[in-house]
Amino acid sequence: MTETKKTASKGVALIIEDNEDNLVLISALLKRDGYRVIVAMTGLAGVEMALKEKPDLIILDIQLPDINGIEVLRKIRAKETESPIPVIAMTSYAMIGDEERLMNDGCTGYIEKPIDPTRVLGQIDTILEEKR
Amino acid sequence: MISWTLLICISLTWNSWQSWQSMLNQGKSEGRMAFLKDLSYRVWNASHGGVYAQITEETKPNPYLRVPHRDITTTTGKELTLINPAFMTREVLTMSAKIYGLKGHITSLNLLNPRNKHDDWEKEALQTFELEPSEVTKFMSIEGQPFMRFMRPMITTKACLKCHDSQGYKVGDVRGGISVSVPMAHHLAAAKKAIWYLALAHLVFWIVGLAGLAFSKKKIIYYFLVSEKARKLEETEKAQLKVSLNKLLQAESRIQELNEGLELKVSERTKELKVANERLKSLDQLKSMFIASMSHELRTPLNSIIGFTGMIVSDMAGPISDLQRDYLQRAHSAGKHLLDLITDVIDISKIEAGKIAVSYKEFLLDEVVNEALDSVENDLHKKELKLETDISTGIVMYTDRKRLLQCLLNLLSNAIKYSVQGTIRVEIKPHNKQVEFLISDTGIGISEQDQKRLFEPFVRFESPLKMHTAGTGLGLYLTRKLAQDVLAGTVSATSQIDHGSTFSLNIPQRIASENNNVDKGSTS
Repeated sequence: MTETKKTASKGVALIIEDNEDNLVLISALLKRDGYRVIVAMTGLAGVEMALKEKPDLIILDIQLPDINGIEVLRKIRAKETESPIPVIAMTSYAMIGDEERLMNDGCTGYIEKPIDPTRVLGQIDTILEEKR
Repeated sequence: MISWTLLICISLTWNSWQSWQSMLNQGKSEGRMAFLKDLSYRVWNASHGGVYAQITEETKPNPYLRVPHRDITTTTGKELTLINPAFMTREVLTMSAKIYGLKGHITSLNLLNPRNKHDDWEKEALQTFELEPSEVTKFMSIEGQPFMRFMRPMITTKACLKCHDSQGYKVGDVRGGISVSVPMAHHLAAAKKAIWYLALAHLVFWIVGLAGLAFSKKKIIYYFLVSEKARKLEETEKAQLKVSLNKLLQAESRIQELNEGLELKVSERTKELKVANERLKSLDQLKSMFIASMSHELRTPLNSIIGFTGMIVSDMAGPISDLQRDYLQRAHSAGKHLLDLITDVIDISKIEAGKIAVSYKEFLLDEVVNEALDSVENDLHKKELKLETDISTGIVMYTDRKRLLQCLLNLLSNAIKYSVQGTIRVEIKPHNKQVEFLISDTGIGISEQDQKRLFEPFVRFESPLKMHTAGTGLGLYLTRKLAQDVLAGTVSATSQIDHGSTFSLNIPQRIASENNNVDKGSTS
């Protein structure tokens, strides 16, 4: 009742995700947690929005229709001018082994799909705290 | 050798006989000479009608001579007596016997003078002369001495009749004979000596021959005996060889046939195999593709189902009634179960296809253990189970972190699932480069029979808790697969029914190398 009305105290979160269900789910959770949510449904749109909006958090899906998440991450890391934006990758189960590559490319952390609504916000907070 | 010995013997016998004969002939000729000499004296005497000789002690008037004027007295008063041929011959012969042992004897079947009596041999000879006047000789022993006896008949002549007319002889009749006995001791000794030398010579010759024979024995034996056998053997062998060769040729052609057949079969089978292999490969690819798309396509909608039901159940989307919550909770649980099932199936098929992605890296074991324990915390609370831990801290592992976590979660959730009350105990200890994870419960336990099938796929045992537990029947099978194929370890269980179970996972602290049973990296 009052959760959605929480003020966006946690800043802006960019969700780069092509699956509408996931997009709705994650954005609902993040909004609940106090983020202002912006979305991109392709990799390139995500890169452009990340560089333009300079969000406080990026939730990045790896399997995207145009370019994959790793390339999106590299492009952002290559072009951002200020301190790196925390990027949390949503890895599908079939991507085991890719996490290391993601971390090497500058990923802040990763959360495995399927996300557990009761736990995902805690996981995000933990990753961000560790980074700080 | 026998032939050689025989030859030598014949030669020796012949030579000895020759020597013997020559000795006999010498005796005979001596006898003949003596006879002829005697005869010539006698004939001379007879042709003079006898001769007068002075009467001495040795030469006395012959009483058997009955002729006129047998004894006369010379004008000087010397007494002479007529010495007839027989008388003179006897006298001379007696003398010569004394001088050189040659005995002469004048005799007849019809004697005038008994002194001239014949012996047995002479009688035989004389009887022979009655039939045919010839020469008779014999080598015989007289009083232990060897003699050659020689005898010839005396044919009556005109001169003979002077004395023998009274006996009724006519000219040409056999009147008697003169026998001569030639002493042969000397000759015999010579002959014996000659024969002895001959024997000696032959012996030497025989030995030399034998030596020669022995020397060439091999050749001779080979030539006469062995070579014959060898020839026969060779022929037999040749025949056998021919048979063998024929068999060999037959066998060879048969082998060739078989080989050709075999080659054909092999090439056929190889082709079949190739086709089958290609089919299998494409099937395998199909399977991989199918699994990959399963992984994505099935899980994506499940994300939504689990995510949204989870949100509503967690009151994140506004208030709901208890009944709604109950129903949604069931849908949420079923979704999670389905997701687990799909995940396990994907894992197993990937392991079995050798295509599971592994990621070995260094990490602190405490982190993984805490993560696992955090994950099951809620379930422990719900069931009011106590947790007891005895965990060595600070162990640095080098292995697949995610798979280790998966194994630990599987074992922990099993322990919780099959416990109604009591304690879950987790013990982690390093053991000589290995790390042992012991997860014990005080649950329902597993019967000995069931323990044997514990790690087989899709095995779920009858239990009072089954209705309330959600399981895939793949958990332990997958755990064992992961422990063996990814973590290079083992997993085992001990259990007592109604007293609980202990599962033991044993893995190397540092995995030796990249497990070649699995692929590194993504396979999606």
